[in-house]
Amino acid sequence: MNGSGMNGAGVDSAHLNGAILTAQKLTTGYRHGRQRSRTVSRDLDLVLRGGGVTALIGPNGCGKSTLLRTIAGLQPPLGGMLLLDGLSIGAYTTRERARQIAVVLTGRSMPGHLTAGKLVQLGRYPHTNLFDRLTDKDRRAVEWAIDASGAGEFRDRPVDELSDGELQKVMIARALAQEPRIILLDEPTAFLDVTRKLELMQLLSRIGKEHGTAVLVSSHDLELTLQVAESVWLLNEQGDVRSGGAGDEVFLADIKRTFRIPDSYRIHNGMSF
Amino acid sequence: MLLTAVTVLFFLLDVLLGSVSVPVSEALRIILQPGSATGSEDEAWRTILLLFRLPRAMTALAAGIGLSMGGLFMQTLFRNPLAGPSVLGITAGANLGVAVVVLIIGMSGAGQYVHGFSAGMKSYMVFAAVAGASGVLLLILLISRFTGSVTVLLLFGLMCGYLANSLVTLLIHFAAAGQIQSYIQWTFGSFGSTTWQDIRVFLPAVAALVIVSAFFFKPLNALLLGEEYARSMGVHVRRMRIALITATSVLAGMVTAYCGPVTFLGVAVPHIARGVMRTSDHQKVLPATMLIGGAAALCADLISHMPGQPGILPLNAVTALLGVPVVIWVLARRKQRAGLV
Repeated sequence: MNGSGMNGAGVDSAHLNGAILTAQKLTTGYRHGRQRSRTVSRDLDLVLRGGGVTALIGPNGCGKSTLLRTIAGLQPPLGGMLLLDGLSIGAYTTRERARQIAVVLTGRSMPGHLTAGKLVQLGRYPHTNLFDRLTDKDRRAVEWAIDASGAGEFRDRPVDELSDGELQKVMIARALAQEPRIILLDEPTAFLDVTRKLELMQLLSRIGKEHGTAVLVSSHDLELTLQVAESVWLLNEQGDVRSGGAGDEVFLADIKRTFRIPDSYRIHNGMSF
Repeated sequence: MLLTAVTVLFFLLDVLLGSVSVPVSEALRIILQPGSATGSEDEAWRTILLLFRLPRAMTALAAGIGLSMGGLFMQTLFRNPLAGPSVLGITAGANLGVAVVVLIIGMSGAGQYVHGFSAGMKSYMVFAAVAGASGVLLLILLISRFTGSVTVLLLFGLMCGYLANSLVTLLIHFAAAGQIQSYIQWTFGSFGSTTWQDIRVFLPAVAALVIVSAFFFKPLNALLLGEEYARSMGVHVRRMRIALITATSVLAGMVTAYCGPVTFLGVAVPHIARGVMRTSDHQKVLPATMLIGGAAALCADLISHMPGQPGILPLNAVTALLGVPVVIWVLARRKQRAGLV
């Protein structure tokens, strides 16, 4: 049940440098009515830092999405604290929170008949006024987001005509346009082929490094995520979390145990070559 | 701009054309200077224009705008192209209210609807329709406190509708033939049964909601991505849901009270608006929906009392006969994968 990982990523003041978001004894799950609830993960202690990709990995059904959704504010935590810049996340208004945290959810959403550019522009929602008037700053942010995510070539096409990979880029551009400090992505590589998967992960890594954004990505693709991630959160089926670096041999052994991978198998983590 | 011109044109045509022909110049003089009546023919024209055609055209315009706006709100909120202002059972609630008045209280001497129930009877009907619609609205708002799912709300609204309709069927089963006749007549829908007194309530109410809706297009656009994305972008989803449902209920309830259950426009017009504007962006679709809704209602009204035909055709028959081919044409032109909302 000890959430603070064996590699020193736990919550003590010495390690808070660069931390944007911290979880203290965070319990995630679903509330059914006033009394009953179903706990998914218990007492998580986590630190999310800016400047790169943090991979959230774990077997199916271990609570990756639930954790992401809790951090995103889409469902309330069952217990513990989530601190954004040291302040409880509940103290932020929805608009303030939306300026800090953007999400890219799993699955293909059907956003009606909009051009890709217009959809990216929706990301300015927490910055624009009541009538959605775009300032020059808003327009620059949209341009930057489209450029950074490589969505430029199809910005004038309606999103309902885009391929899965193209739509994924547009959704990421929309999240970027929000100019958040944290981007949460739930299984962003799920519908992509191998080449696109790698391309996307490298894109996310670059965004993190260039802009100091904290990019938290949940994924099934163990080896792919380990190649680009600066740090890793490993959730197991008991709902515990360990965090560590992708290059750490001891942590890799942990990962193998959690995924029931034979010890003899060599995980390609991008560090061994 | 073009849409505004079309709507104005239909408004003028609706006022100027009818079974009695009034010269255009005379008509304009009578409307612009109501005090200047001279001869007896003038007096007749005055009555026709000011007491019948003008109120009916204004009612059609307001009802068309209101229903279409409500339909667009519901289609975006539920992300469902089949949704309309009647989807939450609001219209059914209003129907039930009117059925109670007409079929039970109206046992004694209710006249034909088209030429007006007695004034007292009519104010009962409006009151009952508003009460029925508000009853269903309150139920839905109550349920929305207990469920997070918008689909559950949709199903609940549907169930409310079935329940209200079954009660109406029961009422009809036990009612006398004369009352049933009056009630059926009412369900045909008509823009022609409002007085100036009604319009003084109806028009400002719709106008107020048109103004309020200017604050809705930004969150409506965010809702295109679904409630979760909307929330992550800073939309107060629950508040927005209540605002949209309440606005739609008020619109649908009032239109049903004054015009009968005219529902088709609300489902059809948003699709036409999206087709014409080639986008789902509410900044463009919302004004287009209002204008097309107003124009469509005026056009349907115009056809229902075209010169050179005896009497008045049932409004609900005209709207669907006219609208279905247009909607099919708009939808058929779209690409296969295109999102419908």
